[in-house]
Amino acid sequence: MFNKTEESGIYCSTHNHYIPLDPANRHYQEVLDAIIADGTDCFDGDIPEDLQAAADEKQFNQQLADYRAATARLAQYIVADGRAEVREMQPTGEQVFNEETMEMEDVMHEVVTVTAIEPVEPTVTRMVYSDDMDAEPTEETIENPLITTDNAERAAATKIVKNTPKAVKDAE
Amino acid sequence: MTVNISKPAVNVREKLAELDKPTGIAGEAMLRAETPQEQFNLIGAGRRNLIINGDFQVSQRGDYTSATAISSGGTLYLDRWKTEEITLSGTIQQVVDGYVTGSNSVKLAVTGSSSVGRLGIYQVIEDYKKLAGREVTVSCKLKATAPNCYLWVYDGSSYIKIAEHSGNSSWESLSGTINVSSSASQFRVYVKYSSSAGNSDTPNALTSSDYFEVAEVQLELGKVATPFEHRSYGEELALCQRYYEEVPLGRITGYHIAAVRAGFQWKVNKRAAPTVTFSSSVLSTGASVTLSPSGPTTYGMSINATASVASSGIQSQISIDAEL
Repeated sequence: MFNKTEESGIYCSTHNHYIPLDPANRHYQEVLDAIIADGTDCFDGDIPEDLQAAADEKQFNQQLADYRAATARLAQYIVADGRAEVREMQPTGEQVFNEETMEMEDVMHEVVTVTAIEPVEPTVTRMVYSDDMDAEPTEETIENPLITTDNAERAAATKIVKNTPKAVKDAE
Repeated sequence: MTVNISKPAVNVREKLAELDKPTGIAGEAMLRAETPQEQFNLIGAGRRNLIINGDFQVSQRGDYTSATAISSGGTLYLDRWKTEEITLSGTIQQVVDGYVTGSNSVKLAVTGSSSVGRLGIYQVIEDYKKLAGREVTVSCKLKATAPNCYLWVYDGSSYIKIAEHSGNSSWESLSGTINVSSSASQFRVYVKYSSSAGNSDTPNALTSSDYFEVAEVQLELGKVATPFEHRSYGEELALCQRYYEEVPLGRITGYHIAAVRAGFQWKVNKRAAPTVTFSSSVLSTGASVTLSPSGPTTYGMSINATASVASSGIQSQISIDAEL
């Protein structure tokens, strides 16, 4: 439980700490985290306006950073599907004279802008050893752990994007 | 006019033999260096270790020479080292002369019946900006009784595995070099059991008899793991006190009548305005007194004291915490 004092900053009665109003102090950051998580429940009385504003700003910045990381994660290819090659026509830097149009024109060539990546194997087989030393190991087929991890990370990123407030998305 | 010039005979074989000097690869690298700065970097001269308390000498918060249960992740026991404890539970112990005589180590042991999780220690580097975009080398001496004991770093967005112990219960020298991202927003060095599905290795179940012991942790610029840089206890203590200082139970300079304000200066200027905790505060008469800080800054504070009786002195134990 916290309360703010005029001279000593924030007093934490749980740990008998006096916490200065310095953003570089880790306990001050923990106070802001507690305000974000618990609201007025963590404070003795109303939360002072300056602390509430600092907590709101911290929460906004955290949500924005999480949203950026999540959108960047979702932009990556799905390992189970692989990635198709993308080619583009780009100027080589050379120019030739077109006698029909009577103008100089760029010489174009095809460039691979995104390389192809094969999808990973959907399943892998592993040996399972029993606690019984005399027992023969058995084979087990499971989903490829790379796909499992990719799915879990994509699901987590999707959840973050979905739960991000509109104001944060608009700031991007 | 004819001029006769005589020149001493030159033994070509002898001159060629002189070129065949007994220099090793490192010696040749020194000879090839273009500048003194390059030579300086090659031999790792000067202050190198960016880790503070890398040999676990300083323990201002208490005596942890016997196994102490880790209360939660993020707790500090030995100076500058925070604990990480996820799913697993464990103990921490400062082992005096644990690695070799004169070089301490810290031991983290798994307690209870654990399966997978993380248990370790890490240090947050204050000057991470000087590492951004540069090559750094991390090294340590490590002994672990089970696989999945690693040296890791964290740059604010990614965890990077530096090296892994074989888990054969003997001391091994671990080291590795990485290019730190130019966008690194922080830098931490971890030594830990990380036995969970989050890493690409097969998780290894840990039991209550498993432990790891680490000594001589070093982080340095460049791609060579040089020998551990030993600093004296006094030097290391002063470096630690930038982040934490413990004033043992003693008399505060001040005199209590009804209320008093006494100036108090830290032994070492702090990284940021610190959190202050008073404990065991009493007057010299034995009566209780309430102490609170006024405007703690990076260099000191005033102490306010209020008590119901007059006294000739005040004593208290004070913790001053500016840890990252």
